[in-house]
Amino acid sequence: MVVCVTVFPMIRIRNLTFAYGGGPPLFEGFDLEIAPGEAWSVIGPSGCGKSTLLYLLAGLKRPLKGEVLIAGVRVARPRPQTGLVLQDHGLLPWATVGENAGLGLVIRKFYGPDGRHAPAGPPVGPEEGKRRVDGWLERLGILALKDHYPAQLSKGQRQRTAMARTMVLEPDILLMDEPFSALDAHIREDLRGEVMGLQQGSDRTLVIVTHDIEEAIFLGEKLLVLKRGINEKARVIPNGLAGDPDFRTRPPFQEIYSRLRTLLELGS
Amino acid sequence: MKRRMTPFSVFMGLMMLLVIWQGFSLVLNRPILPSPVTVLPIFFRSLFGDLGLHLLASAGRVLAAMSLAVLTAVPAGLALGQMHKVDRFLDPLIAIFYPIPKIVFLPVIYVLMGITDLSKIFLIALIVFFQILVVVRDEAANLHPELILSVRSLGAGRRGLFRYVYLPASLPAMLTALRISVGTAIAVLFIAEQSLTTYGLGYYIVVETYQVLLYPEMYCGILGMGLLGLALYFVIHTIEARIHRYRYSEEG
Repeated sequence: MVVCVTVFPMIRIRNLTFAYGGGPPLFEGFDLEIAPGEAWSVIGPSGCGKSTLLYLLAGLKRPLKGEVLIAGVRVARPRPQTGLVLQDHGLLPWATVGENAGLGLVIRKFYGPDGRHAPAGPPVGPEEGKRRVDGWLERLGILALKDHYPAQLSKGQRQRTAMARTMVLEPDILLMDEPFSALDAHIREDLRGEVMGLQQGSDRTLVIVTHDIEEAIFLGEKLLVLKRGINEKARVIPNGLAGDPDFRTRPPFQEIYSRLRTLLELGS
Repeated sequence: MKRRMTPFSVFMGLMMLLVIWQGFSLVLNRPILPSPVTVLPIFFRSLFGDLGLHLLASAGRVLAAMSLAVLTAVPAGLALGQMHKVDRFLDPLIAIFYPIPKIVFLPVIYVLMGITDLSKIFLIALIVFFQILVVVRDEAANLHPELILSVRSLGAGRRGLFRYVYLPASLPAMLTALRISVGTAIAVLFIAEQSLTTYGLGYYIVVETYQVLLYPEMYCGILGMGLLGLALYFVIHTIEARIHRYRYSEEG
């Protein structure tokens, strides 16, 4: 008997073309494959389509041509197992930290396990739900703020709440769109470490969009560099420094940094 | 509504009103302003008789109108708040129609819809409709796009967004609009009930008492109108206080 093992790409973009209402295309005939468990940074100048790419992966936008496949299934709407964290936390202002963190579970209960809005498997019970919410709030250091409202939190705490809300749903893909760019430098560092902690030892796939070169190098095992204008070919830099807290002082850092800079300057 | 209404403050307000009323009636000393001492016993007696029926008829109309307005204006406002193109197209029309006193359409509505309860209810509903439509539309339109995207990514479709985002976002403003339009709704009710009906406080005040010079009874009708307005105001105010959401600042 022959056992055939193929690494099924978690994310597969095939022949993608996308443009905003009549404008020039951001992507044309674009292909990309991301293996399960990989951490990718997407970097590029503003207007290059990096957030757009993330929204396409999240099922919040549809390709004009081509397709986005996740776990072999064509994405046509937000997929329940894909988590998304945006730059603006997007919390409900009238709900507490605890309620916000549990919102995804409430929505899943509202729809039931229909396979479209919520995963088809057995639903999460109330006890398990509470355990997960408290567990993630604890892990992200905001359990004490459970009954606070978003307006009472710092920006970093709001972003932690948004991360907890996503993680409670136990996604197999985590998409992040410049999640730390509105934060102060030291809080940004803290949260980067937090994301790296989530990633290490998990088989979750991570795609993080950033315009910060150091952030891209710290978080992404592979760096996808996009350019302004039409992206046709994926320009990918492998990066062995991801997750290394001292990445800035390692020998390959300068080389990766300058390769990245060159590609970015070519594309802006 | 910065100041809180307590049972005590309501009682004090009522007492002050009665004292002022009594004072004016003593100074004026004419049949058009009878003393509360004359009016109140008749009021409580007739409340469980004829006046009660008029009050019920009026309350029924105004409640039906408000329900009709809420049930149509909330979905329409939510839809406009989400469909920016349609909103931009209809905005000039709404902006022009919003401040027109809808009462001027009374004769038109009578002719088109007939002299029925339905036409009176429709007229009041029309007024409340625009008040609610505008605030619900604005609340829905002002939600951050990132909030909507985040909640969609949690799995919410149209129904989920409506239930967990748009409805809670617009409910407080909707209730405020409703509470503020109680006064106008009852004023229009008063005018609409003055003719072409046989039950309703407007009819009671103008036709059954004022025109036949039954001044103390007329004041009973006026009290009934006041009571109706106050009761509606308090019911809405109580619901508002229940769902009172945290008043959040946009940025911080």
